Amino acid sequence: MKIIEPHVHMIARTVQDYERMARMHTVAICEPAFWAGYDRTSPQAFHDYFTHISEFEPTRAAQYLIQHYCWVCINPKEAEDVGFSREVISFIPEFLKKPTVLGLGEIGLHLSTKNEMTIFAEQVELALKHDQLIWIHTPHLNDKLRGTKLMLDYLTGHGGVDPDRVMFDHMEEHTLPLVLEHGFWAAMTVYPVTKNSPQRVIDAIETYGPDRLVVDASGDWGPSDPATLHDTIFEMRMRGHSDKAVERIFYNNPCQFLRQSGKFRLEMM
Amino acid sequence: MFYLHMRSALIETAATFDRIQAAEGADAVWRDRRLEKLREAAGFLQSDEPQRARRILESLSGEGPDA
Ligand SMILES: [Zn+2]
Repeated sequence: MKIIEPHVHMIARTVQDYERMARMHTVAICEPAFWAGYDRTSPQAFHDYFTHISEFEPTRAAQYLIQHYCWVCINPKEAEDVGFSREVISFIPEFLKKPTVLGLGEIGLHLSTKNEMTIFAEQVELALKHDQLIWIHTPHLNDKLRGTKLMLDYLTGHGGVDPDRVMFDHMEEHTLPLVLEHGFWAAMTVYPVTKNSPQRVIDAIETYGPDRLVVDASGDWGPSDPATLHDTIFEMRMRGHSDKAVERIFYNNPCQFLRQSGKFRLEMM
Repeated sequence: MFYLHMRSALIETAATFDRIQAAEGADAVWRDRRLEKLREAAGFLQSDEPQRARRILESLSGEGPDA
């Protein structure tokens, strides 16, 4: 069985994670642009970052037969300064032309402020203008419900957004049904501690069915582990789900969503 | 950090109750003495009295080797 990892921040990981993922049959990974654990001090730092994830990381991944794709944007944790954010947004179009850049992401909300919402909306417009997919970061913990509803209201009221081309990430029991009801895609992120567990993710798949659902792990600079994706696959198999059903969630669903970019090179199984 | 772990432990426990209730044959399992005792034990979390862990362990004591 082949696996697609739709959300991992490899810039924060060692080559050992590439080795482990390769051994666990991961064939493609996607790296959304996000915060680096500290605030960057200039827009130029984002230019370097986008260059790193669109040019250097694919070469590191290729050594392990893994296709590396990325998303670019100004992330919500650094979007409070509107002027700064607009400077970053000004050079995003040059990266959208690159062969492994799949769209705008992970845009979204962190504290759900007015300024964050302004920059979220401007990046949605940029995505629409360039016919790009959108990957959305929803706030963590107790801000998740409010932030998710704000973005859902905005996107459903917009009129020009096709929900089939938008992924809401970091979904949990209280936000997942809202996103699916409106026809958007939903991703659940598994963490080793404090957030979604493999068990809760499989519960959600059993409750809501496999349509428009994907699962990703939490490879970043905090407590996280790309292998939690494979723990979740094991949990699904342990519960007696067929190989076909498992393959749908961990390969075909992300493949179907990502292929809309026109750049994702894997075929559906 | 304590908060995040406590929040997570509570949600995981709630999700496990949901999982059991949604499963086939849940009625019989739902009436299982051990589950009843766990639900009772959850009540200790709402009290202001200290030694909650000790009181939960005491309330679960004497339920047999599989309890
Ligand atoms: Zn992320």
